[in-house]
Amino acid sequence: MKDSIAPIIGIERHRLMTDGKGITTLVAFHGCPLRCAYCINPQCFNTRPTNIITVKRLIDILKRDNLYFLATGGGVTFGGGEPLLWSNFLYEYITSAPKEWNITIETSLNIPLDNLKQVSICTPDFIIDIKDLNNDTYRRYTGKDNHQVKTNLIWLAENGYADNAIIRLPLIPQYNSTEEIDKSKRLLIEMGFSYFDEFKYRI
Amino acid sequence: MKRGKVVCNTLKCIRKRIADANNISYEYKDCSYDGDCKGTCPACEEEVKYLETELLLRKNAGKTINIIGVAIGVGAMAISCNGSSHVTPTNGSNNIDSNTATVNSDTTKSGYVTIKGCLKYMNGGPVVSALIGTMKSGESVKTDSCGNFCVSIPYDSTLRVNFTGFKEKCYKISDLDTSGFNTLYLTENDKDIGATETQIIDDRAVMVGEIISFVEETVEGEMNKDINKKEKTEQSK
Repeated sequence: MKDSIAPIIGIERHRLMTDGKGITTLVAFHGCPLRCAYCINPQCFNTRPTNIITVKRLIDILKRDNLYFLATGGGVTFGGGEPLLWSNFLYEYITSAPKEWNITIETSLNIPLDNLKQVSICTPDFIIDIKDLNNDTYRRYTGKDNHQVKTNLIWLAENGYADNAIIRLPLIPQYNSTEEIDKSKRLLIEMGFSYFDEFKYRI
Repeated sequence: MKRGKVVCNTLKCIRKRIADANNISYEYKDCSYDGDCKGTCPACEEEVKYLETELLLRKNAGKTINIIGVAIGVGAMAISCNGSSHVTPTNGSNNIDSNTATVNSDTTKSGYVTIKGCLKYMNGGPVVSALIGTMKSGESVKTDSCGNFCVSIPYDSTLRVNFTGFKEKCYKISDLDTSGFNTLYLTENDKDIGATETQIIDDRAVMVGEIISFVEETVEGEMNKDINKKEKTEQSK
């Protein structure tokens, strides 16, 4: 095993139905291409991350909850930051960890398509926070364009991953409205997505 | 109940399910710790090790081990029931799936009935974070990420379902299965065409992906040793 490394901001065990099936362990990575106004884990921007973890070490940590994962259909949720920036690490994890552990990837999808393709081999569950499909709204809120997000959404839908994805449609105070959310939702339904999580961002 | 205690009780319930499914003698100890529970502790971890040892002994003796899925749904029920009733293990039950995750009816308050179920869209997708109950504090819960819910409400009340962009749906208790699992649906006809921005409100305690506490020694000590051992290989973005 190559034993890749990646910087993380934290590991949190025993999360109940918050971000994935069953009992999950959240592994939050450093780094994110976005600068969301209401980011919930701003520590991911720290330019000098102190916690580096190897795939082998991560699996050792996760093993502690092996029984809980197996009994509840749970596993690991990769979040952040943007976990798909660390696709080589994730790929190595996918090919090394017990297949019975569920994998959920919580992502903005604003990453290169190749990174997405690399991790999709294990058909993970995706929780995709699209912010808003309106590019002007997206740019105002995140500081980036969402063209890559749309490209990646289309790829997921065209390659049979739509039913593995829950699309988060947040009401972002001062940035979008329910009308815009409805518009995003309609476009996503046209693409082939069916599962949505509508909620309001906490400020 | 604080999150840590909810987690602790849920994990105990899962351990009990695993033990029962494999005929392992196991009774969890009542915890008297009154401080800030993190959901697990050395005593809880010892119980896990005990189960692992017993399972290994059975495996080595050629016995079939039942772990996969024996506690599916337990986490959902614990979250949904937090504050109104609590999840208890089902003695001797194997092959438990989400439709049979059990809330002990004995724990339901007098004059109340416990309604368990799942809220779905017509296409089968889960409706996440819908509000279910009487809409009074303590008598309402939110559906989890799978659409599951479990709520205790007065016998003479009505179960109300509220979700952003949809009109409120009401169910009489007599129309619901109070001993089984209810699958409820939101349809196109339930959509509230005039929904306004103020109707989307969701104060979930923990956001998806939000780190709320850093975990234990694992993130410090040993991980940092890896920095010295290995060359940091930045991955392509």
